[in-house]
Amino acid sequence: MKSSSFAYERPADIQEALASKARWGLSAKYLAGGQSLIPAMNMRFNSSTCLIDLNGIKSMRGIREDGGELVIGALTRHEEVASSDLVQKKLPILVQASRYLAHIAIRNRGTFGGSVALAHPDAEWPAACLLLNARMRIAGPNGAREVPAADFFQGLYATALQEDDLLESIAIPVQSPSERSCVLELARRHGDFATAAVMARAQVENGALKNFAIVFFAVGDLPLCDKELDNSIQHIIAGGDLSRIPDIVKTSLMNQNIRADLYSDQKTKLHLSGVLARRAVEKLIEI
Amino acid sequence: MSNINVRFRLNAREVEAQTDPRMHVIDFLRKNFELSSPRVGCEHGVCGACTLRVDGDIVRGCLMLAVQLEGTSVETMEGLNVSGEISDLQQAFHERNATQCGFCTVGMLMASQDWLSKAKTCSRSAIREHLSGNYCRCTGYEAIVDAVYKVAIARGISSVKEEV
Repeated sequence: MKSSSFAYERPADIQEALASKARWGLSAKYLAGGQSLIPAMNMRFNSSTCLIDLNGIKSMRGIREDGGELVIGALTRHEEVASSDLVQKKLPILVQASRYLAHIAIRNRGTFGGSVALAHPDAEWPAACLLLNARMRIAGPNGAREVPAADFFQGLYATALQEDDLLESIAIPVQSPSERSCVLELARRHGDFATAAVMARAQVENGALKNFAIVFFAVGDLPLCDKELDNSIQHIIAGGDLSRIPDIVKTSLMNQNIRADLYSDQKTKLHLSGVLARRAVEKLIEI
Repeated sequence: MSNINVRFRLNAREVEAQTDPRMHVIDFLRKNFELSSPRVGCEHGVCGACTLRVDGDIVRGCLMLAVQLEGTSVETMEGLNVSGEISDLQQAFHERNATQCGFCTVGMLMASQDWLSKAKTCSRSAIREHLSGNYCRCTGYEAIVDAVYKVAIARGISSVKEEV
């Protein structure tokens, strides 16, 4: 349970980090919070010739408001997001999600960008980025670029990040004051990865919910959304018979690659997704 | 790989040592400074037995590299024993027999003190939630929550009705 040997570099800025990566090549890895990478290396699921520790790069840390967006530096710790007044005011769904996110000692160290770049299928931040139409700001040897969340997450641990790319920050459009949002997870122990989970949002107009959207995670290879399903649920909300929600969720998700885990098979995950979707809608109506 | 020099503050004392980059904080503290309170448990961040404080925040010592301690301030149970910061909590653990085999105790005390120092209101469920990252394989959770709750009340944290 000890990692194999590796070299260690601690660049002071993004250019130095990219240069370091170019020098070491394929088997070098960026180290952000290390709360997934270090265990994987300790268990020897993963190895690396060099860890390029990003924690000295100050420009990659912190949260700022820019126009109608919050820009979250990739190295911002989970707990910094969870306890930020700015986030509470502009993106309260992230604070709601952080209640489910690991344990305090992990949240103090793990980073927003690290979680997004790893793209663990059960993690909260990738799901939130997808639901909130976040844009990933990526630095690379050929300059900077932006990738929308819908194109960024591509499969199990697979993202739009190329070999030499570095995720610098995540820009997320703020939630409007008339928006309601809700995060629900079912897990065996508080803070563990969920068996099934949903994040949902909707606008309130004249007392009615509009523009309903939902993301399912911890059930597939990546967070899942489906515009048609959103529209169907929106239709059901208008009609008032919420008991129809679980069935249409199941029908929609059956077209996706739903992944069993150690404790729950695909059927259970489909069932729980339907239950959670209905509860989320009820919660959005109640709030 | 070549060793790297690390300078940091350990329990209010400036220290310096060499480390292999692959060594995590717990092995480093045990081998170089002969501290026995940081436990080597699961070494993949699940059990919480290695919980210690870095720059005032609790972290998993097994998920942090020793080289990353450069310039930080580290506090282990040895330091807290000297400062007396949690003597009331330790006394409560003793009285309630919240220490059985003792392996998880240091991590439990660290996580409990972290909660006690921040909590504005007190409930058993809030304590359980905060300690959810720490395993006790003797399963003595009830006694641990009792002890932390008692200290919370004694420190003047007001009790609230349990959320169901």
